[in-house]
Amino acid sequence: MSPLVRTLIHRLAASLVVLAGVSMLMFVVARVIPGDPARIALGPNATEAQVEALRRERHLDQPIPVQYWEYVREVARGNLGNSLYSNRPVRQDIAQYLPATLELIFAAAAMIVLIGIPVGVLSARYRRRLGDHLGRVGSIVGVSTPAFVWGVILQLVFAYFWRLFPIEGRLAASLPPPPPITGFFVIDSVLAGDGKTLIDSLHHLALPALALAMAGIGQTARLTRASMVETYRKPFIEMAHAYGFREARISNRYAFRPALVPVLTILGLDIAALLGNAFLVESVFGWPGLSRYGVEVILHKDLDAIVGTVLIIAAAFLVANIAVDLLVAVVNPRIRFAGGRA
Amino acid sequence: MSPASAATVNERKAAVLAVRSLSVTFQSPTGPFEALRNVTLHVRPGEKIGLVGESGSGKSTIARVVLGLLQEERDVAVSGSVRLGLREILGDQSFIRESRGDRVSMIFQDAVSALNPTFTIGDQFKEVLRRRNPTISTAAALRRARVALADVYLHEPDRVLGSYVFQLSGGMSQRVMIALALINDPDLIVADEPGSSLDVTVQARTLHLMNDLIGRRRTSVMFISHNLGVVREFADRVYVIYRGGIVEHATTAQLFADPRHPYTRALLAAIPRLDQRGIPDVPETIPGFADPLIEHEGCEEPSLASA
Ligand SMILES: Nc1ncnc2c1ncn2[C@@H]1O[C@H](COP(=O)(O)OP(=O)(O)OP(=O)(O)O)[C@@H](O)[C@H]1O
Ligand SMILES: [Mg+2]
Repeated sequence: MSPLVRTLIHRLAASLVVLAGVSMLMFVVARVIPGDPARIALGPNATEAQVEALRRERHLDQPIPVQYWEYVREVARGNLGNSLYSNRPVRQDIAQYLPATLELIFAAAAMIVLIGIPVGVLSARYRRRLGDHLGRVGSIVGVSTPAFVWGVILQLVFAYFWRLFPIEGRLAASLPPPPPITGFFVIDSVLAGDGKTLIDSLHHLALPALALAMAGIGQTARLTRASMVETYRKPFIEMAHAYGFREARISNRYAFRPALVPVLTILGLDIAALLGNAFLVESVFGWPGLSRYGVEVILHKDLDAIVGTVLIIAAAFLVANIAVDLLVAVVNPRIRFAGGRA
Repeated sequence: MSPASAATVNERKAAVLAVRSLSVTFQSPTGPFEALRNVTLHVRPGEKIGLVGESGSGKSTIARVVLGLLQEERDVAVSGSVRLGLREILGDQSFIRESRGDRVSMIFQDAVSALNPTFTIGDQFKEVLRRRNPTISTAAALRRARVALADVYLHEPDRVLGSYVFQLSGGMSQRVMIALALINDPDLIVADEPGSSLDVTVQARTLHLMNDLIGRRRTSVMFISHNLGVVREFADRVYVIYRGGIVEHATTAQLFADPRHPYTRALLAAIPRLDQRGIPDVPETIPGFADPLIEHEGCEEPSLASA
């Protein structure tokens, strides 16, 4: 078995342990925060008997370990329990809201990578020139302004004053959503061959994704620049110059690849952190995503829905981290070959 | 032999490298620092010259000017003249830019850190070979690289070509470096303390190997070292440099038979042999160290007209 595959298996196993831990923790936390979930779900007008019945039905009268065991059996069957509030399977709720959030996050992640890294690379290549100074100031502004403030600014400037972009939502009210296959409007409209919906969904996606990405773009540009500048001081870059490798080739290849290693690691964390910031951006842009759902279920003390949402977010976080580690291994042969031993 | 044009005849007689009155001043936040002062030296075709001096005396700075690297940096003033063959390279980077890696190459002190950790040795050979022949195919490049690796007695060329530098030993990396430096058959190689990061026996073996290969091709070499013992073994002619200035210039035989400059004498008194580790223990300074250049008989650069 290649070291890489072995590492991957280790990481997946470790992730399952983490998810089990997270589920236990959230399971307990959801139950110890004040408030009676059955009462909240049924509202003030329900009779005590109705509330009692719901409690019994959902095993809420049992000790927490017993409840957890019931929950685990449910999860093993591929379910995430039922929402007390909407009375639908949590899985179904999440399936409805998650793609919107993931679409937003993937778009933001793409912007971070496709804007942040090139800006950092160019900044390092033309360091201490005007473009570099502008890039660095821009990066600091990007990093130090919270995502929801970016949301409000971008919305005001580009949607409200200049009317270049829609103010909110995923799609114009006049357009029906594309037939749901992945739940990503952009992908589904491509699959449906519907150019008009594709353009409109991209149009809606642009501002919230950019608002969400701004800090990551700035952070990534700064990190990439620092890592590139550091790499330029290495003897192997002096060697590349001494052997007449072209400047662009050094910057895009011989300095870039070694410099990318530390950047990727942080980038993975940044992208995972988008999940947290997505909520505020989703509220600014009326984006019907999971973050909004998550807050709603917490306010309603919707037990299974809370645990389910957190589990999905944790799983996404873990997957993102493993993906980044794999990428790092691809870029850094030293890790690739030491993978099994590390 | 094919009939040569007048220009190539001239070029063959001209020094491969001629440095005249080279001065280098670094601008630092604490003020200007004169790293080289009025340095004049030359290397004839097929000749091996040694450049000896203590740490910080400016040896690498000369190497970096010859390769045109220093000129591309900011905050440094370079004056004088540096000719490669008949071309002046100070003030015009175009010629040296197209020459380095091709007509001029360099061997670095520490091959392990001079090779890129994220590309295979094969990739790095390919890139260097492309300097001479931009359209060379991968297969042809690897074929050439295999031959070059066999020349430096690396017996599993395919394994080496597929390896990353951290998978090779220090001695193997240094051999790879030598093979890279020679593969485009350069006119001039600048060897800046090659192998001094290796243990002494490996270093000695690598230096002999390099010397053999270079001798066979009649490549010109500027050999930099702080170790007079090393220079004695490998150089035809020696320049001794002290604090940015050349203090003595002699053939190797002359220098060791009749060292004239007080600084050279101090260096010789503290000479470590090739099989010994360590930096010569030279006194910080004595008044005579600052004496002007002493050039031994017959070492002057032959002028083009008289050649
Ligand atoms: N980029 C630079 N900026 C400022 N000063 C420099 C720079 N490069 C070299 N120097 C200074 O120039 C002097 C000569 O340095 P150089 O590297 O040429 O020494 P060297 O003879 O090669 O020494 P070593 O044997 O340690 O390699 C040193 O005092 C060094 O501090
Ligand atoms: Mg040096």
